[in-house]
Amino acid sequence: MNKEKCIIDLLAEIGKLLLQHGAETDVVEKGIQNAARNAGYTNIETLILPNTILISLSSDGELFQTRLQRAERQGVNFQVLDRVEAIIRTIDETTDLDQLRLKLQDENQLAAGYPNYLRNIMAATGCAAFSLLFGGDPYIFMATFIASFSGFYVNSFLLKHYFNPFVVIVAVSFVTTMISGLMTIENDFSHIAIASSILFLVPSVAFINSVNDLIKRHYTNGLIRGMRGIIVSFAIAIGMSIALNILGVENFL
Amino acid sequence: MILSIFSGFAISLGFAIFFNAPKRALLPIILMGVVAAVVKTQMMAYGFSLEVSTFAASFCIGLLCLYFSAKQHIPILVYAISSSIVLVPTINAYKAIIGLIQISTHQIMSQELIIQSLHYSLKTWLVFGAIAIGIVLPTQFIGKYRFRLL
Repeated sequence: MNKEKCIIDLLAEIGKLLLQHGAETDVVEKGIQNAARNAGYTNIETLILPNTILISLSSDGELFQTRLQRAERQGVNFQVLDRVEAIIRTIDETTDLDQLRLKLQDENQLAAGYPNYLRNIMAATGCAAFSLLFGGDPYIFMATFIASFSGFYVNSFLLKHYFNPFVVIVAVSFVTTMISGLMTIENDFSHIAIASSILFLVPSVAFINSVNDLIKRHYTNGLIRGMRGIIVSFAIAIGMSIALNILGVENFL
Repeated sequence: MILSIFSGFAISLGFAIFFNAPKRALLPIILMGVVAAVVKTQMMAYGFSLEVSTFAASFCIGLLCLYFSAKQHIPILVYAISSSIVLVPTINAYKAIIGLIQISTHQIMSQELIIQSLHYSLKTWLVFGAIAIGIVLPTQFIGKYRFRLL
């Protein structure tokens, strides 16, 4: 009885970590099932929703253990996916499950990624290189770099204080469009600078996960993730349109 | 050509670090980003439409993803997201939004503007669909035979 409680807590923790950091439904399901099989339990059923996991484990065909786990935050961090998958592969029947669960709950060590300033610089470089692909000149490159650098800084500052993510996106797209618009207001290529400096907000994870889920027959999850992507796109559009109305739409055709 | 190689390199590396991709996945992601940028720009230069060339480029990404994911034991998503940013149709999306703003604020009588903005927004959604389906298709149909192929 006690061992079953340990294993179901561990499985819920694994599922929550995978779901919180941007895995698609199929990856979460396979991860939970692989972990259970490695620990010696074959009789397991899972139900996965975009922010909830329901796991039901039966032993001897009679006793059922069920657990509901919520995943509150949604972010993208691929190093967590990599580390959790590596941990799942090391589980076997003699592993100390409680210790493993404590290791998974240690979020600072698990979610450690690249330092924040490096992410900031690299995201700005990516957006700026995008403007070159559409035919911008070095001035447009620098303007895009500065705009998306400051936009990303505002983004991480607001997210650290746990604002609503959609409100954060409206604010960040407003700030980014204002900066890039003010820097290129007299330029012919101003539309390239604005369009590519906003790029780090595009919900690509939501859209690709949505199509993935729909094709693999998780219809509810696919629809909800697609809806989330559409809401994020509209939030970007709202921020941009406020900024462009202030600066005057006629300058940016 | 050199421009598209450089920008594919910078975009995919930048967004891989933005999404916290693991260190051993960085080289494959850069390779995919460069391949996607070159395929897309070259096909556009030979006169294919934007949708078809985006679909071909993302299909290349999907095939490469399968190989590296089986080799390095990392989920396909990690490679696919960071390298497919290269293909996002930002200019079309921007023009669609600008058109909508113009329609909603003034110039309600201009039919040309309405049709133009509808054209750009449809094109944006089609290209987004081409990216997603091009990445997902190889994993569905070729995934069964991957151990025989590789």
